[in-house]
Amino acid sequence: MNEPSDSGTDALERELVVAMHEFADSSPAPAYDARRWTAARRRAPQLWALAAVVVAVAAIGTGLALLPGSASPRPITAPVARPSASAASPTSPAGALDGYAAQRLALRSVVTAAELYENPATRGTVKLGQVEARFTDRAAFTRAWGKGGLGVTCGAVASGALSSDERNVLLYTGAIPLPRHATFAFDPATHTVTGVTCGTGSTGHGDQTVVAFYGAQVSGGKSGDGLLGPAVTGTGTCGQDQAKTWFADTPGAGAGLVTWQVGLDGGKPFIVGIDRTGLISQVTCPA
Amino acid sequence: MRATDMAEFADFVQARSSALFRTGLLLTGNRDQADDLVQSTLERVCRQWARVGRAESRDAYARRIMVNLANDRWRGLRGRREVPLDETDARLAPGTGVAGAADPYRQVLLRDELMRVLHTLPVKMRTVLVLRYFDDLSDESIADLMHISTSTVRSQATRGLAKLRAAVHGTTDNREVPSERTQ
Repeated sequence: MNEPSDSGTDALERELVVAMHEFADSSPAPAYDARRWTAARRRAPQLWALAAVVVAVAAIGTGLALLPGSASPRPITAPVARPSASAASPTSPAGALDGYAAQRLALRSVVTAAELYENPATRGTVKLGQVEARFTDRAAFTRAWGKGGLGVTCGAVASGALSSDERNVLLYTGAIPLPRHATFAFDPATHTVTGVTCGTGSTGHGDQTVVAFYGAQVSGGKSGDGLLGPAVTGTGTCGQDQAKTWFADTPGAGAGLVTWQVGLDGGKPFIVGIDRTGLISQVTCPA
Repeated sequence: MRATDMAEFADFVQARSSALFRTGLLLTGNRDQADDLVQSTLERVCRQWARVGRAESRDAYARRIMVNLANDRWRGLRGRREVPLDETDARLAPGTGVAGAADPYRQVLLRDELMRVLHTLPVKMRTVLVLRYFDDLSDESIADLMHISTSTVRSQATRGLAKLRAAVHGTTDNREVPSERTQ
């Protein structure tokens, strides 16, 4: 960090740093889709599509293999494909995945586990051993998990969470935002969780449609029904209408839609597309 | 572009575009321009992906492209966009209605003023301040990124801070503010 030159400038510099961060946080970053640029440059479109499918399936599958909901009524299926045979070792849960994807999957697993564990109705579906494997060691798990998983959700019971990156998580009770957000720290070598801290104020950005719709779903309300576009024929939950928890991450964009991966009760995530009017216009359920 | 490169580039976009946008927002002061800047940056990064090299350098490489693009665009728009600092100082003169010391929102307004004045600074000066105080880069890294000397970085930062401080003085008019007056 650059050292301030004197105490007066020190104060001005501190204000400047805060002002810059507040300004940068004031406008959520758009979701950029790399295919916008690679599409024009690709030489083998079919190969790219195949690779994207394999990576997506592997990412979803690898992450789900360690999600805590495997004992739930909706069993978690084994990954269809993996980037490599060593992809899911206990010490390196995401194996050949890049650091970003590995950390995102670890974060998804841990937060979903905490949400399920905090609800007496779903607590039995959580396998704490698998959750612990997402941490660097037992001490890190014990410290971060806290009493009944509340350490992960910053001391409040959460039934919803949204993460726009691989570190920060906005927390909700249904669709109601909780006052604090969680920030995960990772071991850069193993991409396992070293700790969870809680903070207030802005971090990342949420999505009002996702929060309102899936928050209403887990609260048993119907207030989100108006957010389903006419093109969606189902309930927007891929059949998981009685879910108790939701988790959304992996924002993306393409074809005029903002997309999120949404998981209900730790089940296989599905992709939700939101159009410019804020309506859910596409729901792609897993096979 | 090979499939592996495409996947790596997609990961890079996923991981870094948000940070690039935030820096772009500070460089331009405008969401649409920041979006445009990031898109142009990523387009160039994609085009030269094979030459980007090691993963550790990719972020710096993208940042360098973005800073250069921001500089180029600013030069093109200079005639109609840059606000002379003396006009700014006049606008921020004492008694212009900015909240006083008793105003609980004083600090918020002060930060708004800092950002507003930041975006009136010459582009090189502003870029140095953004890279130094937002991206937390060392003066040496900024010098390397902007192709200028370390001493130029320091002088630009010093002058930029002085201009911000002058604006804050004008805004707050002898009120208790973060400046050398608080010593």
